[in-house]
Amino acid sequence: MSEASLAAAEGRRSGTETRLGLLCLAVLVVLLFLAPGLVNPGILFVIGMTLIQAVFALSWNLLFGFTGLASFGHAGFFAIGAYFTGAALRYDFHLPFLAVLAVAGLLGALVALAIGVVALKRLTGIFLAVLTVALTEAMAKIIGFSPALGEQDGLGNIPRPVIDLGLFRIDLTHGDDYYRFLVVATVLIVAALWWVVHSRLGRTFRAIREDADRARFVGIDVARYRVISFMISGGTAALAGALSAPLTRIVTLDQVNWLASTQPILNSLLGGFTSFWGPIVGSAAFSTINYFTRGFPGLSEIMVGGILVVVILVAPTGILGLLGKLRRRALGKGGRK
Amino acid sequence: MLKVERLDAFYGQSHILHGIDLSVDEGRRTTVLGRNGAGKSTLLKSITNSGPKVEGTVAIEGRPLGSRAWFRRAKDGVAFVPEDRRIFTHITVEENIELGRFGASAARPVVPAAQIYEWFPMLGPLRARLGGQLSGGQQQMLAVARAVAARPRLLLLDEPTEGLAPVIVEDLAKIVARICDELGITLLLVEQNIWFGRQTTDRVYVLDTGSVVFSGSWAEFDRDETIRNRHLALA
Repeated sequence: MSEASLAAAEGRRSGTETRLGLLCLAVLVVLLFLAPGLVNPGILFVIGMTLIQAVFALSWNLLFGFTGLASFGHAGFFAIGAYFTGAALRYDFHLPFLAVLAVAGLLGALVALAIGVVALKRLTGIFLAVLTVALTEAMAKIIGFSPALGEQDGLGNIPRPVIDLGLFRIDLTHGDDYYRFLVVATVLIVAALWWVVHSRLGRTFRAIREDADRARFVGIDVARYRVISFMISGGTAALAGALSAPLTRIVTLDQVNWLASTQPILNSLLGGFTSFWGPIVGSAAFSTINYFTRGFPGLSEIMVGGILVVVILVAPTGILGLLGKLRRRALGKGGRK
Repeated sequence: MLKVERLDAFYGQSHILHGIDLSVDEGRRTTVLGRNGAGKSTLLKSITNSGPKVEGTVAIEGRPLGSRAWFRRAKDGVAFVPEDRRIFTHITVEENIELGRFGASAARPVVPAAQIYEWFPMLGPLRARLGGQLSGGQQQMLAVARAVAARPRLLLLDEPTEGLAPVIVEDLAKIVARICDELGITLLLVEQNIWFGRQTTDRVYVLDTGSVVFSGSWAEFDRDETIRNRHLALA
């Protein structure tokens, strides 16, 4: 078979797979939207938190999986969004809720810009990772001593918002309504990130991840694009935090600690950091494991370590990488028949 | 176009290049020959500021480059294809070529993809394939295609024939010569393959143990048997 016909066959198979994938996604979104009528409030809360963790993990993986930078303190960005939104709703900043979300994302992006401009020109690899941890720990200390942010007790009694669009109002004060809003917001954020990753900008990020020197040779200002990636990542993480505050109705220091920063890492590695969808699959898998082991208190830290060990040893490219390998093996066998 | 004066290059304590003087006029094409370890690749890396510590002057159009960052040099119209090809293996052929836009500018607009596939017909059917799925020859073609997509004014090629089948080397020589003609590119080629250099360039330098031991036309090179026997160890 010639190169041209091989490429055409690859294209046809890839087109079919894309259509199938889109169909599965559409079914998933419809099921998520109908979930309040299908499951109890406890499970609905778990699904809502999974959606937030999925956005959080996607934000981290834009940095790691698509730009080749590691942040070990990403919870700092999440906390910026969560605390800002919590404070905005609790103390009534007189801002429409959609504006609160936008400002939260912008704050995360601006903090990422500040870190990026100072650090990303010189720091990559382990140095950047450690710096982000240090900044997040510093943020936790500052929050811990801020009475307006609830100090060690956290910021509680956060009211759920009402979106006033002039002609009509969308009341999100009921848990089911806020959950549906969360589904819509998650779909929009995931779509936006998908577009980023598959746009020219995303290809530039991937080129930098693969080889920064190579990228410089073709004329890419590597430091500038790393900062842009860091800003999008930080802004998205803050947006995830912002969406979480009205769901949980309390924001605590637990969301700024080391374990919170490992969650998006773990979800991305578990699902597969080389795939755009990996962090979402990882978040869903981790939430499922967490839900079924909830009867064993104190198990979460052991699970974090255990899952990391299993992923690294058995499936370094995560669940999606493992499925892809099995699929290729099956196709290979089919082809030999 | 390119002027290198009294260039010394060091890797740590090792003094690799010794007072190199080299110039390539606008639109001309030059080969640098030399045995393994003669300092050919170090010369290109010194020009591109991508490795050794350098003393001396590298100037393009009379403007010394100093420590100008490499991505800015690419935007100035200098394209470099290193010896290990350096294509992006996790993005497609089409996307690799499209990255050439980063080296382009308003004065030097990016070469349309259709023109690239006309120059490199073997890449057309592979445009949706990942760079890492290409053969060595295809990868080399892609590396050169990406470099010329930015319509560079100066093209630096580091041993492009290394590890390629003879038939691919012949194709590559024709393609490189044609593109340089059509775009008026100034070429500095580092090679061990004399045939390839002769097909694509009109002037030759010979390096030995980090120093220039010959410079002249190919006709002068052919007349100087000492150079070939002593400094290139040709049979």
